[in-house]
Amino acid sequence: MSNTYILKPIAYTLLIVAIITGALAMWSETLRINVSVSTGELHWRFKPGSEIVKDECGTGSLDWNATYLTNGSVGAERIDDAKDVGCTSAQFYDNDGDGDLDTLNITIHNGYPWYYTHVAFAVENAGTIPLKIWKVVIHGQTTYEITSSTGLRLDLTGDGKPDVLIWWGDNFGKQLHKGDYADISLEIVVLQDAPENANLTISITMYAIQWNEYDSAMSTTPV
Amino acid sequence: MNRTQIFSLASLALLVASIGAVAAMWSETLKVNVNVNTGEVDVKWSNWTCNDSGPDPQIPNSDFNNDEDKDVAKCYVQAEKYDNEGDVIKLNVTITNAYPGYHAVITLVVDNIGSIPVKLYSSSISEYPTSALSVSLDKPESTQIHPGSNSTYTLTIDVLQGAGENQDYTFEVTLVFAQWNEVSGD
Repeated sequence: MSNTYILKPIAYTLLIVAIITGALAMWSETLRINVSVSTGELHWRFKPGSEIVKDECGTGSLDWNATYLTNGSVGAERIDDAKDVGCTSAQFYDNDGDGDLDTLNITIHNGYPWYYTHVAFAVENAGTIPLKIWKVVIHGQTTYEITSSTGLRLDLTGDGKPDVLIWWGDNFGKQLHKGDYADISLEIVVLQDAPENANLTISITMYAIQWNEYDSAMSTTPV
Repeated sequence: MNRTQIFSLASLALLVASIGAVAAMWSETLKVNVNVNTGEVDVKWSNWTCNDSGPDPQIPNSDFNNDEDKDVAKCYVQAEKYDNEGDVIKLNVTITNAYPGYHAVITLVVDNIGSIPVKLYSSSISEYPTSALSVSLDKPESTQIHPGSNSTYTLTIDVLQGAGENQDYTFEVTLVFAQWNEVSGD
């Protein structure tokens, strides 16, 4: 092996070291910025103890019946010869186990056509970001507002005929700051085409959105 | 005294005479004293502000809006580290209670407090979740700063829809300034 093969790598190594050393020796000054971004939380829940039921089970209260469903509102009263036949129960649950009430189960027992009930509750902003009540999905139907003239007629059995009618207190777009709450109520009327001896389940999901996205979210669905 | 001794004495006398002649030669000496004082490459953060001093700014040209002028998130910028001369060399930006759509613009002023013109040699932003944040560092058209002058940089932080709730995102921005004659370009 000639000396060239030994000396060449050594020479190259020394050259590289010299270049690196020269670069490191360059006069310089470093400025730094540490950035920390902490996000808040969009969180709402049913307000504990806020549920109010018009014809609550176990109270012996007499039934309410719908009297008319037109002209932009629903009328209800205790008719003559009112009886305690049906009743309504409402119960909050913490479905995801995070310590906050996120589910309200409403059950109408022994309902019948024209049976009317009214359930009121409150939702509160338990997060740190202002929110607006965005939309509600009732039995798969998404709505951003429920006009007082229509309500929602729901076919729960799939026979093409509506079984119940829901009216929703219009709180869409209402803004809740941290700790604020809003009252919401809904009315349910059992219609003539509801089946007998049946358990009818209505799934209602409410959505809130951070306040600064509400306007655009009326027409688009955020990620 | 023999001949050898006489010859030695004569040689010595000749040598002494030669040295004397040299010493007596006319001459003039010029000297140069060299004193090199080096300069200093030195910069510091001299001023910093965040655009969120009231109602929360929102990402421009987006669907986000804060027409109600809410003040939900906060943005703080403060000095974090000083060098031995008491100059600020590290800042801390803290954004709290942020949410998608929040738009922070931090304006940063760099002063050249040295004696050598400097240019931005390199800049870097450490890793951060791009689904949660959009971060950009806007530099001046020319990054050269002469002694006594300053230059302004802006750091823009947008919170995106992919940001998680109750999360902390951190990253670091580094700017290295070097003497102007070692940095190519502006």
